[in-house]
Amino acid sequence: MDKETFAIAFSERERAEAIKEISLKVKLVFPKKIDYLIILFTPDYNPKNFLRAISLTLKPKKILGLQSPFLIFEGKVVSRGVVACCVNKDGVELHEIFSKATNPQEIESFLTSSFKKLKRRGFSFFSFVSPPVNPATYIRGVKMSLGKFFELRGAGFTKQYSSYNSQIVNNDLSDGLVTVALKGLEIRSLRLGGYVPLGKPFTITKTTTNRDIIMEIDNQPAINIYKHYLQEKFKTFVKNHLFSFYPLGISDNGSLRLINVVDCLEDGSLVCVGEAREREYGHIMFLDSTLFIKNLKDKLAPLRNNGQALTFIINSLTRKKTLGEGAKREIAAIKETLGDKSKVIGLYADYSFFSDKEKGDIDIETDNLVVTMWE
Amino acid sequence: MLKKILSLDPLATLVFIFFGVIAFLIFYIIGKLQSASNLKRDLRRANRTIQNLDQQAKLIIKSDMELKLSQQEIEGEFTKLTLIKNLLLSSTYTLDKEKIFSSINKEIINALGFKKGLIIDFHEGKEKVNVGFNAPDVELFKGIFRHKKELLKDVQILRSSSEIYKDLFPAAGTKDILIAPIKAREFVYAVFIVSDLNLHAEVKKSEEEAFLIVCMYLSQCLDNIRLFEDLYHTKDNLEKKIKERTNELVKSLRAIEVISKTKSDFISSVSHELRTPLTSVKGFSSLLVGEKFGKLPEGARERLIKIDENVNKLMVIVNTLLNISRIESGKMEVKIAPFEITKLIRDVADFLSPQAQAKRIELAFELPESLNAYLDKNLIERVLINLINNAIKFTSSGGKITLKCIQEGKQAVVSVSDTGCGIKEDDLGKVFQEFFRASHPSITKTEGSGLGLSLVKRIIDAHKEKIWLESKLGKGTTFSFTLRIA
Repeated sequence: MDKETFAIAFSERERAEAIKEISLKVKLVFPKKIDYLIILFTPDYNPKNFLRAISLTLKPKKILGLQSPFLIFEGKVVSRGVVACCVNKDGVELHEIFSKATNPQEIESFLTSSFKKLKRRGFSFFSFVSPPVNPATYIRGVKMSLGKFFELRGAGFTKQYSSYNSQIVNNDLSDGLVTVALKGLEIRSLRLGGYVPLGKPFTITKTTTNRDIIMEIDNQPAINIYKHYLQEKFKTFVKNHLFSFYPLGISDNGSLRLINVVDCLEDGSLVCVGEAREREYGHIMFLDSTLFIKNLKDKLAPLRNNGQALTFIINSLTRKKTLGEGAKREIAAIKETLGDKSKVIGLYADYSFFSDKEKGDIDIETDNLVVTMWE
Repeated sequence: MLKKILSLDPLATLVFIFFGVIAFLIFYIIGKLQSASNLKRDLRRANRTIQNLDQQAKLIIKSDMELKLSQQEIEGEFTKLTLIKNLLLSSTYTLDKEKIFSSINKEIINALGFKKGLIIDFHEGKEKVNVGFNAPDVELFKGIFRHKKELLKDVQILRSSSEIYKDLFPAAGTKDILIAPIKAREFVYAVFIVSDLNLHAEVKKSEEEAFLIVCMYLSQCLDNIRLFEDLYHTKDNLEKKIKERTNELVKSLRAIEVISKTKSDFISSVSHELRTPLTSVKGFSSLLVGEKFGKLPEGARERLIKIDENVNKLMVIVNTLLNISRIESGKMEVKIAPFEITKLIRDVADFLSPQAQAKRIELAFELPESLNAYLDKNLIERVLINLINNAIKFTSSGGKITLKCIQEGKQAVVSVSDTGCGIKEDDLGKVFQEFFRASHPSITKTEGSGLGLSLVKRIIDAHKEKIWLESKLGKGTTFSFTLRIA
C-alpha cells in the first residue's frame, strides 16, 4: 500500500471530545508524526483555545485554522463541527504570511516584501481574507506586486460570522488576511457553476471608480435590470434582498464572469462583490442545477477514486442560500462522482479566488464552486 | 449596330452610355433595396426572437423566484419544526429554570426566522436570553413593559408601520417585533421578544405560530417547575405534619402504655390482694360444704354450695387476671422447650372429656401419630383447656368438637373446631379483647368472664406465634394457632 499523504477526520462533539476524536482518527493514519495540520471549524468553537489544545495532542510542525459558518466533509454539509486535514509528504513546505493591510498600496508592499523570494521558488498560494479587506483591493494589490497573472487560490468573507477571528496560524490570530505558500504538492483547480445567461444582453454604462457599484445599466438606474425581468414580483425581490438568486454575468474574453449583487442603494445603484467596468456587457444569470450536475460529472469523472489526492472545495455561501437543501445534494453529487476512495473536505465562504489560466487573470467567485485537487 | 451608332454621333454615344449606367444603377439600387428589405425583415425577426427570449426569460425568472421562495419557505418551516421538536425533546422534563432559558439560543432564534431574541424575567427584571440586542434596546424594552402592561396580555406583532411601533420605538429601524408573555399559570413570568427577520421584512403567520409554540412550551416548562415546587412544598409540609402527628401519637402511645401498665399493675395487685382472702374463703367454704365442722341444715348447705361455686369462679377470674397481667408485664417466665403437642392435645381432651360427654358432644381427633413442637407445656395446656372449654360451652348437645394438628412446613397448626352457634362477623375482631362477650343470645346466656380468649392470645403472643379464628354464624367456629416444629 502506498504511503498516505493526507488524513482527514471530522467531529461534531464539544471541544474536549472533538479534540479526542479528531486526534484518534488522525493518529490511526499517521501514528508517528504530523507535518502540517489544517483545521476547519464552525463558529461554535473558540479557535484559539481549540487549536492550542489540538496542537498539543497532535504536535504538527504547523497548524492552520480556518473558520467558516459551514464546512464540507466527504459528501456532507456540516453546520457544526471540526474538520481536520493532515498533510505528511516529503518535500512539502508551508510558509504563512500575516497582514492587517487593507488598501492596495499597503497590500502591494506587504506582498512584494513577503512573496518575492517564494515566487521564484514555485510556491502555490492560498489566501484567506477577513471582512476588513476588500477582495478587489486585495487582487489589485496582488497584481501590482506580482504581475497580472499570478496563480492564487483562497477564500474570503464579507462579514464576520462570530465574535472570533476567521483565521489562525499556529497560535497567532489574524483579523486581516493570511496567505499560505505551499510547495511540494501539485495543485489544480477548476470551477463549477451551472449558471446560464437569460434574456437580452445589457451594457454597463456607469460605475463608481472602485468598480464595485454599478450605477447605470443601459443608461437606466442599474436596479431596473431586475425590474425588467421581475415585473410585479420586483417589490418582493427587493424587499427580501433576493439579489443572490440572479447574479450578473459580465462578458469577459468570451466567457461570462459572475458578479454577485449584495445590495441596492436608494438611487437604484447595485453594490457588487467583484469588479464591473463601464462599457462591459452582460446578462442576468440563472442557476441551472441539471447543467451543474452535467458539468461536474464531465470535469470530475477523470479524478475518480484518487485516494492519494485531497479535494478541497471552496463553496459559495450565496450559492448555498440560493440552493437551500439543494446545496447538500450538490456536495453529495461531487462526492459520488469522485468516488468513495477520494478524500473531500471544504468550507463555505462569501467569495473565492480563481486563477483563470486561459484569461490570465484572477476572478473573484461569488456564486461558483471552486474545487482544488492537491496531489 | 452599336458601332454604327457610335460612329454616327458622339453625343448619342454619350447619351446611350448615360442611360445604360442609369439603367444599371436602377437595377443595382433595386437589388440593394431588396437586400436591405430582407435584412430589415431578418432584423425584425431577430428582434422578435430576442423579445420572445426576453419574455421567456421574464417568465423563467418569475417562476424560478416563486419556486425558490416556496422552497425556502418549506425548508424554513421544516427547520423550524425540527428545531422545535428537538427543543421539546431536550428539556421537557427539565426542572431547572436557567437550563430551560439557556435552551433558547441563537440557533433557535434563527430557526424561528429572526436574528435577534430577548427574554426578560419579568419579576427579577433581568435578561435571561439575549441574542443580538444591545444594552439600550434591553433598557427600552424593560421601560416599555413597566408602563405598558397591556402588551403582556397576549402575543403582539408590532409592525414597523404601526402607530404603536412608531410611538414605542421612535429611534428604531423598520423591523417588525414579536412580543409574547411567558405565563406560568395566571401570572406573567417572563417576556419573549424577537426581531429582525432573516429572510423577509414582514412577520408571517408561520413565524408567529412557531414563536407561539416556543412561548407556550416555555410557559408549560415554567408551569411544570412551579407545580413541582408546589408539590415539593406540599410534600415537605405533609412530611412535617406527619412528623408532628407521629410525635403526638408516640406521646399518646406512651401515655397509653403508662395507663396500661398502671392498669396491669392495679389488676395484678388487686388480683393478688384478692387471691389471699379468696383462698381462705375457698378453704373454709370447701370445709363447710364438706361438713367438716358438723352437719349443716339443708338450706344452709345449699347456700354454702353456691358460695363455694362462686368462690371457684372468682378464683378462676383472679388467676386468669393474674396470668394476663404477668404476661403483659413480662413477669411470667415462658419456658419454651420441645414437647409432643399431639400428646398434650390428647391429655387435655381426656381431662375435659367428662364435660363433653355430659353434654353428649363428640370429641373427634385429626392428629398425626406424633409431632414435637417448641412450647411452654403449662401455658399451651392452658390455651388448649380454654379453647376446648369454650367449644364445649358454646356447642349444643349432640354437637361435635374436632381437635386437629397438622404440619405445614416448619410449623404445626393446632385447631379446635366446634359445631356451635358461631360468632357474628362484626365480633370476630373483638373476641381476644379482655372482658369481651359476643352478642349472640346463646353466648350471653352462657357463663364466662370474657378473659379466657384474652389469656389465650397473650400466651400465643408470648410464644411469638399466631392465633386466628374462622367462624360462620350457626355453623361453628374454628380457633387455630401455630407452633414451631421441634
